[in-house]
Amino acid sequence: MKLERIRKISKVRGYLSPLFSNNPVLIRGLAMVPVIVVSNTLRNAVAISIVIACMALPVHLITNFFGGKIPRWFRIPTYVLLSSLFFIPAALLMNRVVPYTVDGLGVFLPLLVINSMVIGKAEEYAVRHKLIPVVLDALLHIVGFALVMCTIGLVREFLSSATIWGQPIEWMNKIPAFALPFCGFMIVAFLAAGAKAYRRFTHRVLLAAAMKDEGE
Amino acid sequence: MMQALTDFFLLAMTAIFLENAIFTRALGTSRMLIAAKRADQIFAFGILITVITICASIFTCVINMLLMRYSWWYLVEPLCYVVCMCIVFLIVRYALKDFFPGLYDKVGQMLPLATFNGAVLGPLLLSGHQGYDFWQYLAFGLGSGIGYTMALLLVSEGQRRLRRTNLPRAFRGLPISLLYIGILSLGFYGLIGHQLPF
Repeated sequence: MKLERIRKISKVRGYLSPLFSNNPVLIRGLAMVPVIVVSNTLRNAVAISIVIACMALPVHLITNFFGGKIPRWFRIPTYVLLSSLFFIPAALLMNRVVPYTVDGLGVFLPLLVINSMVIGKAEEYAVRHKLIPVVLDALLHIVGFALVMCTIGLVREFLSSATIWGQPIEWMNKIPAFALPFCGFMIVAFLAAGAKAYRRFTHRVLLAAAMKDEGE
Repeated sequence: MMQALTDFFLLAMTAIFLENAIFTRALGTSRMLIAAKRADQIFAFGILITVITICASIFTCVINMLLMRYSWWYLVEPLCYVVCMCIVFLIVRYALKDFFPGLYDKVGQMLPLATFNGAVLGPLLLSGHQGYDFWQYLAFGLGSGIGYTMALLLVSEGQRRLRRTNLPRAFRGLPISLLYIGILSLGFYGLIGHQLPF
């Protein structure tokens, strides 16, 4: 493989890294709380993903415009206030798309306002970079989060209650333990190990190809 | 009087052990996995969280009693609670800066992280949803903060020992920490015996 092609692949891999090789949940450990506890059904997972998407994007955009003007010690309170303002339309949209999930989510729905993916990423990335990279970064992180959340929701719902989106499936005996938080911790742990192994594997393949090309 | 004191400490002990913030509800997990490693930092972080939860409970208890009967409460609840947390953050910051400047230099950096944390907002929301009165709010907040500190100490010691073992590369760091917390969480589930209400 030519070196220029490897460089292009690495560059694209870098841009798309929040999806798999630098996933916000599995590699960076952000936004753990909803992924571990309330990803026990696919409906809950989709509801949480919608709310996070509707909060993260506006907060990062506003942070990009005005974040630099706020004194450093008051930035995190500002981001949290902004995200709790955008929580209102996000929760209304969630109710439209996936109704009757508010009670099932309990305290974990309002807890999304202090989510580290919204607040932490705003402080770490959105304040310091230009508009287009911030928007792309936010979108990719939201998609990466939603992928993990919905995968875990699907697996846990299927194994714990033998249903998908509330529709029963005739398969095998249910294992109700999968709906409990300790199983959430363990499933995320194994998926995180898988993501780390994938990241190492792709890095080694690219490195080996680059060294072979340089040797030629 | 004795009965009231007993109820207070009973609820605090329930919040420490049976409804532990990390092991039963995974509150504040993201910050914890990236947070302080030394015991004195963990103690400082935990004390800050406990103090802020107790102070914020005073405001949120009043707001909850006034507004919880409305159907739109679930939409504005986070905003109201976050405003209370901001007020407490400003009070604590200025109190530390003016009266204990040496202490402010040590803990000032972790003050925003300690205030806007799932381990603070979580107990406030749980107390509101379970309809606690004023003293129950304080007891639950106190117990939750102490339980979070203890869980942080356990997890950091566990991480320290795991770093010395020979693990498969894919499991080093975050995955094995999550597995460790999951096994402890399984132990807590065995103690409680049922799924806790959200």
